[in-house]
Amino acid sequence: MIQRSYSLPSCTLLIDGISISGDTLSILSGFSCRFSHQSEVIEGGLELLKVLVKVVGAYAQALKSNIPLTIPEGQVRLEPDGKHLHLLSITANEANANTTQKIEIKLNTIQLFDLMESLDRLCCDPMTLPDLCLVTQISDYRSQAQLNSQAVPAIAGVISLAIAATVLYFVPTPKPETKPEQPVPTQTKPLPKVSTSPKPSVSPESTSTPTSSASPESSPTPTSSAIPESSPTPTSSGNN
Amino acid sequence: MQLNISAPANLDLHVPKDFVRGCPRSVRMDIDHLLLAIEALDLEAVEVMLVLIEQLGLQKTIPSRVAFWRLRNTNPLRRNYQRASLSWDELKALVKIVCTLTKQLDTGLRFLISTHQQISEGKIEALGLQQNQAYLETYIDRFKSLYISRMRSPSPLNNEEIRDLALQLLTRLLLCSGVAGEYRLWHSLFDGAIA
Repeated sequence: MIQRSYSLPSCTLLIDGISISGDTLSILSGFSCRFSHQSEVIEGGLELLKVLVKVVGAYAQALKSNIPLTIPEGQVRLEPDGKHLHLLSITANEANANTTQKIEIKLNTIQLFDLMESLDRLCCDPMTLPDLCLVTQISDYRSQAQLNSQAVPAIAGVISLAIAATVLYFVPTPKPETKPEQPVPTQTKPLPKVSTSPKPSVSPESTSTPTSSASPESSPTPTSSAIPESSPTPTSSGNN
Repeated sequence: MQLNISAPANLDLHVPKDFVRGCPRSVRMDIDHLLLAIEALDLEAVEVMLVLIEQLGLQKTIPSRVAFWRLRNTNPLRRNYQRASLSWDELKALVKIVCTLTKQLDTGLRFLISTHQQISEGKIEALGLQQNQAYLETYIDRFKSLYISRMRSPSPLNNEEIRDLALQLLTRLLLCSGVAGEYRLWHSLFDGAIA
């Protein structure tokens, strides 16, 4: 029977186990984790210890990247509680009758660090449970958290685009109706003459009207268009 | 029977495969900010760092004071940024320096972090620890002046943001100070970095 202890200022981790060969503690019989600010003790077996290593490691890693995450894994759940506190909750296992109810421990950053450090020392200790290894990967938890927070805006965006597309599909495309109302091409000299010549064909009775109508129409348009159009452009450009 | 683990774990720092274009920008910023926070905690930290380079056998990567200065100027926010990047060996050397120094600063870090918590919970007056608050303010002021003097001229962050960065770096440094600190810091640097 071997006992190993990892003590830090605010957290003490005790590992009980049996060695098969030499000094290496290779079979865990139980562990206990005690905080100096709290009377409750976390006790359990290998399963709980592994989950604890995973949760605390991933949470510390997320905290380091300044993106606090809630890490739920099996019986253990670690979540941020305000700016400085972290809530560690461990629900009772059905198999273990000793832990009758849920344990909730509030840790500040330093106590969390001590818990992480005691577990890290255990993981790095070649003489105790050599198959326990460090957890630094948080991508599993990150992807869950991101799916929840990012999927909603992404889906909303796609849906709104689809709705907008179906609504706009029924709106008729505007037809180019500029040709009949265009005054600019009619002002040119040859066009009114061509347009006036078919007009008399509609009214063939009066032969004198096309000539009289053509000459006044053609003569004012070039003068009126030439003088006002040419004068404002230089003045406007000068004012600017 | 009590055993204390002092020897660092035999964990090697793997170069992430996704980052084929060298050390990402955010990593260079992060590591320089951590070094800056260490300088704000300990005014003689730069001298200690130069001694550490010899002790840790990193002269090959960082041969001189100027080379060290150049490495720190790979932070794109620096005033003297020369568009240089960090090699993986250089980054590993800087990570080693940061983690070794944070182990020495552990007590101070704990003290400042708990003071910060007491301030935000409004307990300083009740506990009569105004002196501790002054220590924390001194650290923040030092960090601010270092940041403003080293980074490019219109400061990338305003005063409030620099303060938040200084406080956030305390937690990051504390989490680097453990036995597996190098490994944890290495992974956290690449967490969320863009290749």
